[in-house]
Amino acid sequence: MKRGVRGLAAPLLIILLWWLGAESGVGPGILPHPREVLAALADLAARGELQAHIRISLLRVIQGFFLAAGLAIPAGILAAGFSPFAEYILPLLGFLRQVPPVAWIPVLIMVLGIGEATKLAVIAYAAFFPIFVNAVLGITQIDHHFWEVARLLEFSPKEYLRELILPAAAPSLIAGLRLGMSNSWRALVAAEMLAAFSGLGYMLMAARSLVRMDEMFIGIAVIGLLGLAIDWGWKLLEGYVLRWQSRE
Amino acid sequence: MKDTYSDGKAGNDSISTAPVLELMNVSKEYRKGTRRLLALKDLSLTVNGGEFVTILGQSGCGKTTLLHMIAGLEEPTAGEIRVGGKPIRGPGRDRGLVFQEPRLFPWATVAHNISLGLPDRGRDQRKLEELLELVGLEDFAQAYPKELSGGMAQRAALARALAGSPRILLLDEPLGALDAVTRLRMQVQLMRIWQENSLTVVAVTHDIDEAIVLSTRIVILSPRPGTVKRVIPVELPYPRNRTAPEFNIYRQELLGALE
Ligand SMILES: Nc1ncnc2c1ncn2[C@@H]1O[C@H](COP(=O)(O)OP(=O)(O)OP(=O)(O)O)[C@@H](O)[C@H]1O
Ligand SMILES: [Mg+2]
Repeated sequence: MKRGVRGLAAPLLIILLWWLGAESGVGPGILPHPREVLAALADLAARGELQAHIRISLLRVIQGFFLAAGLAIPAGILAAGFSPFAEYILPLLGFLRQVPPVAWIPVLIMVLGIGEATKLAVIAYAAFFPIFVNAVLGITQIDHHFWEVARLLEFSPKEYLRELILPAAAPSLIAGLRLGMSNSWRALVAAEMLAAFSGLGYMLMAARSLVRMDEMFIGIAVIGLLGLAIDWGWKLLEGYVLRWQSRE
Repeated sequence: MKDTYSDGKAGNDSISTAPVLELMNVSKEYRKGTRRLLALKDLSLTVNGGEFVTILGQSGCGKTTLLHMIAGLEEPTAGEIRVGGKPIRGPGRDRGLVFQEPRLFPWATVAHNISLGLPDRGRDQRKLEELLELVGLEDFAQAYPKELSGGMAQRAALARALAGSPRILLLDEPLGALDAVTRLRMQVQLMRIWQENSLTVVAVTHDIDEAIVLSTRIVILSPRPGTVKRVIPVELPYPRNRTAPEFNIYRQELLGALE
């Protein structure tokens, strides 16, 4: 708790300095006054514009994330189970991992157009690798002693999955999902800046073309805060799912 | 308690001369690259129904390997293992194994761990409750393994092994990690479970007194490669008195044989 309070010190200090700077007239025209930003926020919210952008961004990230998880977890289980599979695809994945999601956006626009498919693909791509890699690691690192127990108890394939593989790999799986979600959130904003007419990323770009510094600040704050909130959600889920783990 | 403790030679009512478990010239070699390790060589042993056979031997002589082969987790490189006259093919419900470590799934509660040993996986709650009661863990049904003491974890592992109602119970030093008092108490519980369920038990221990207290027969393995060095039937009535002169005779004999 105390640590959480300490974590507020730096943001509050920055806001305070910003406020003081704006009051004393430093950089007018470039830096908006915090009061103006708050007024713009109230305005955006009153018109329902901000909420609409948030809704569409969240929807996209959730869709893309579930698409990625739905592909990456089964693929991870396969890759962990058949080592030849891993040998065939790991070099390719190593290459793809070096290509940031944004790099695909021009290509995807050519192929899929500026519609939802492009954004979905970018978000899913961004989330796929951490989820996949962590799934493979989590499963291959299961203690072979536990596999012996499963054989002894004559598990069915379904029981192997439900009673052994998923729970044993859960710490790694959740770490991968959490990282994947955070990647896809970042990729989403990039995708919306380049190929969208709605969402928080688009809101930022629109503010830039209208030279609305205040709205850009709002966009950045909302993106960061929502990302943080999502990550807190993961932390809570992690604590609950992994309640069987011993605390160090 | 029933009077089976003091009915003479054997402790189990249903002791019979029909072999339940036969090991015929069993050998096990581990290969790792070009390195070969002969863990067990030409080991033969017949265990009759209702017996309590204890395996004694130095660390690394192949006791765990032997139990894992009987359980069906490992295959012999030569020889054959039969249960009820039939060669075994992998693990089966007719055999229950308690590993050298408890090996409970840390992500599952005690009740869930034990239920995984049940053929219906605990759909019938009564059987699960019976098992919890048998090992005295009723109050810890919903606890996770990290919340258990070493002895409690071993008891949960014992319940899981008993859940499949095996004919043969295989125990790999199940009391090895316990303090002296808990250990004595667990020995009494083991005796009770063995006698009340007409089980055949093959146990591994490093504790000579424990072997004499529990066993109808003691098998001593020679080290590297492990093979049967001596078989000593323990012909004392149950419950056994550790301070009796006859007990001491067995003690001396075993110490000598283990040299
Ligand atoms: N999976 C394995 N691969 C290679 N060698 C093994 C394997 N398991 C056991 N061994 C070797 O086989 C021999 C017998 O091991 P085992 O675990 O059966 O001994 P043990 O009698 O149970 O010893 P302890 O009393 O210390 O538990 C040892 O030399 C061990 O190194
Ligand atoms: Mg051992």
